[in-house]
Amino acid sequence: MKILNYFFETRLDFSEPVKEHQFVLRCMPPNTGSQTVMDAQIIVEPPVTLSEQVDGFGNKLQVGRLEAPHDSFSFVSSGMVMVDTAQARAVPLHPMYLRESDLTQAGAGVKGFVADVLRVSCNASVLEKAHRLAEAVAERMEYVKGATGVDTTAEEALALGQGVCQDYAHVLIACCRQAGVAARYVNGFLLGEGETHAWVEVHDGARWHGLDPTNRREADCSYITLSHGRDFADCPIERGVFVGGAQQSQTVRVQVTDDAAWAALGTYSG
Amino acid sequence: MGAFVNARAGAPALTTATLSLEKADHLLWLGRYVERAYTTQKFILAAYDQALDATGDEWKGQLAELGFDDDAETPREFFQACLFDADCPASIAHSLDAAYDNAVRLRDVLGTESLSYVQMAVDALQAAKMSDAPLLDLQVVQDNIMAFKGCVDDFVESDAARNLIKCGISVERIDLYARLSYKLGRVRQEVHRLSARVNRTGTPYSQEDLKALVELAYAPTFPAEVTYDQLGLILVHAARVF
Amino acid sequence: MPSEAPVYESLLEHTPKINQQLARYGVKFGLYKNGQFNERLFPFDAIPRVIKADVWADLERGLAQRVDALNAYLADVYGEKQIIRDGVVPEDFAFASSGYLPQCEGITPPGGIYSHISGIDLVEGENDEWFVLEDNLRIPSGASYPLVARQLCRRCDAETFRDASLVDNRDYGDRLRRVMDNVNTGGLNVILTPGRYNAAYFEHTYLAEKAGAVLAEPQELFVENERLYYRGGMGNQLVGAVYRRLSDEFLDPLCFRADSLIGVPNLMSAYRAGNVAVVNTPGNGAADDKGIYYFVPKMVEYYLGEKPILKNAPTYLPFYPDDMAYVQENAEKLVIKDVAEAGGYGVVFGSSLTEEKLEDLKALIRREPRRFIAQEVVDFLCLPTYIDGQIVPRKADLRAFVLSGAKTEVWPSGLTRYSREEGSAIVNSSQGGGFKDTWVLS
Repeated sequence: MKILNYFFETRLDFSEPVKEHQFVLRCMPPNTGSQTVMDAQIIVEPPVTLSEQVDGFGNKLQVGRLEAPHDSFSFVSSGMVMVDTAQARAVPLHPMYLRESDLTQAGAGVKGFVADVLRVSCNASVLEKAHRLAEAVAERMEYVKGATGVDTTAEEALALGQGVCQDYAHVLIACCRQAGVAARYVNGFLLGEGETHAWVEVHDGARWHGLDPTNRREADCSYITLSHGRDFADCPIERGVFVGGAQQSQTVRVQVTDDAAWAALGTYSG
Repeated sequence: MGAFVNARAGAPALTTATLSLEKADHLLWLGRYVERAYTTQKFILAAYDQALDATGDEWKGQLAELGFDDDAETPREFFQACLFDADCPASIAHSLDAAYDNAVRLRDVLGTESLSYVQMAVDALQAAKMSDAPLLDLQVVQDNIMAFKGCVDDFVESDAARNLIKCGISVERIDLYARLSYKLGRVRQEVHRLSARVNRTGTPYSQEDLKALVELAYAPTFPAEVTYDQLGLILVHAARVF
Repeated sequence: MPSEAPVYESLLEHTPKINQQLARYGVKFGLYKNGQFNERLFPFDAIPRVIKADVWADLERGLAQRVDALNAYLADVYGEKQIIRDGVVPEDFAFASSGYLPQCEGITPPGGIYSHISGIDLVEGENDEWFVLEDNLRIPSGASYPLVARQLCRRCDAETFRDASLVDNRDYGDRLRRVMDNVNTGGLNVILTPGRYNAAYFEHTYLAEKAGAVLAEPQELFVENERLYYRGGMGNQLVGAVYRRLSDEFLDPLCFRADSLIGVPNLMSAYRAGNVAVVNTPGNGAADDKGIYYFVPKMVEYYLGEKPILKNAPTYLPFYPDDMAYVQENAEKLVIKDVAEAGGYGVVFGSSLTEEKLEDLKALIRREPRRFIAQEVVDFLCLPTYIDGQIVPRKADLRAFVLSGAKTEVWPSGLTRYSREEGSAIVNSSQGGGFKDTWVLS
């Protein structure tokens, strides 16, 4: 169990003012079995009324519209969550996580890769298979920024052998589903400083388990979940459309710290 | 299965909508293009008639003002292009196509019956193009445009829509009359009509330009001693009212 | 007996005039050819399809029953998924459909209605026997054409319409309006068209006029604070029901295809919040898919506890061993359809394949049994059709329109489409086919 403080800021700068800006954010951590939100705020600039909704995958949405011209847009999401992966709830599996999605279709490359990795593991459990695939994906892929884009498919990324966390996740998801293991894409943060992160969850018949192929480890209590879906396209952290022909540049800052002081506190009741 | 009842379902639908800016724009331009097709057609027929008696290159008359290129060698060729060449932005065919393009987006406002006259004007122009006496058959185009205007008066329920089409017609007349120095005596009347209707369009407009237009048209020297500069100003302000 | 007599004879001589009038009213459909948008007239044949009152009564009950079951299925598949847990519809089919949209999970539309306007395609076999070929629960088009045609035919031939006792079909606009009012959450009724260059643009504009709804293009609408508004020049107005003639994937770039330039951003947020009725609801493709079709009669029994009144064309799912055996033995006389392919794609007549190709296909079906369905080729009746001055037989289908409002009602008419070539079963307007009015006798 860990208690984590998070601070997440995204800032978009436009080269000229844009207007009628509509957006959907998935930037606030939800309560799940293994994750309890103790405190959470969001601040959007320019200020605007946000509607909170839940999408078809169960993700928390912040929806808004900025009508007036503006040349930058930013949001800061911060708070504190308790993460305890041992508390992961048993949830029924939706079969869509067993099927290929647009970005995770298995072509000859993925199929061959999976056959190769699992050639002697007929009796392996779902989790064993998933771990072995994650290991193999981490082995095969090289972390390179700029080699792939948001639309790069699992098949393309595997062929390239390069990519970022999104690509690692897509490749692993495609492999898992090809092997009959239910898998989904997860967005969130990892303890430390940097950017947002993406990893994979696999369903063992009862619960979801996090696997992070990029860092070659399980997604343990150092991970904060924001959203999930069949692949990246289902659950982006931010998506927007606006009127205006502006160029945009994005800066993202994520800071997650382990609040050891809290975790060290004893409890009593009487 | 459980019953799915949403308490808010079945709330009464509102019946009236104000026109969107897009629709207002289509109405205005429908009026303009219909009028452009009508007035330029009259003008072309008059020019054609004069051309029969003209010598040399004079037969092209003022039509160059409308934007026709003067590559054509014979009056017949030239007038064919004026009327039927949809690629030429000043032709009747182009104006009618543009009128149709605006009208077809307004079926819910105008009604199928009114709209059909724009369709028939387009079809009649096509038929005239194929005819052995195209100028005679153009009469059907004129008839349909007149019928459309009548329909607008009688069958278009929305006051705002009716007034927008009529404002479009007035703006177009002012523009053409000034551009061609044609029927300048009628400019004042059209400006008067425009200012009387503009408040009933339910659409924002420029009071400043309307005022400038009124001043120009009601100047004591207009139209007898009007200058080219003044005509130019009329064009500028007329274009800016909406 | 009036119902047996060729009541339409005197209409025939007026065919050219009626078509002229249709041209006048702009009854067209759009077509892209070599990248160019063209509008074409939709040829009208004055000989109607005539359906006897008792036959119609059965069709009517069967169609309403089918659509009620389909609506119940949509509520279930996006909600509790009981029919899947009960094993009536296998998971592999329920979620394999490209029309199934997980984004719509858990949303209950206003009034609990998913398919408000359903277009059910039927063909008539021998002995008044009808088969359903396809359900269209997304944005079925075509109602406007017989609607206009009836009005014109009545004008040119009063005698026929005084003598023939048929049910009036000219109230479609009112029916559509009632369906929208029934789920309207308090605001305007709007028909949302993708724009001028859509194949069915005429219909969008005509239905807006007839239903008294506002015709709007996407840029005339916007969403703020979970509500949909129409941008009026003199102020924005709340929209209570939007009959959108724009397909799901383009509807909202913030929920579906991000590259859609013709959608209304965040429309789904207003819909999720229950603040606007979307007609028909997004995600209906989950129920009108080739693979799901097989299960519709089972849905009727499952949800309504009734025997299905309408028949499907005999269909086999190689997914089931018995059906697999039959398909393997009879592939050469069946139509094989690839469930994953949309529209008319992935449809193969076994009889059109060489022996080698057929064996390949059978092997593919053995390898991927869930991917295919197979159907008997239904030999459907020809209707007399007036072409080039002669009455000739042409194959024709019927699209019936079922409207789900406070009650489920079937429009007593429908779009009858006929093929241009003799013997051909292709009735699509884009292939040069035409349409007929559909008369329901009273």
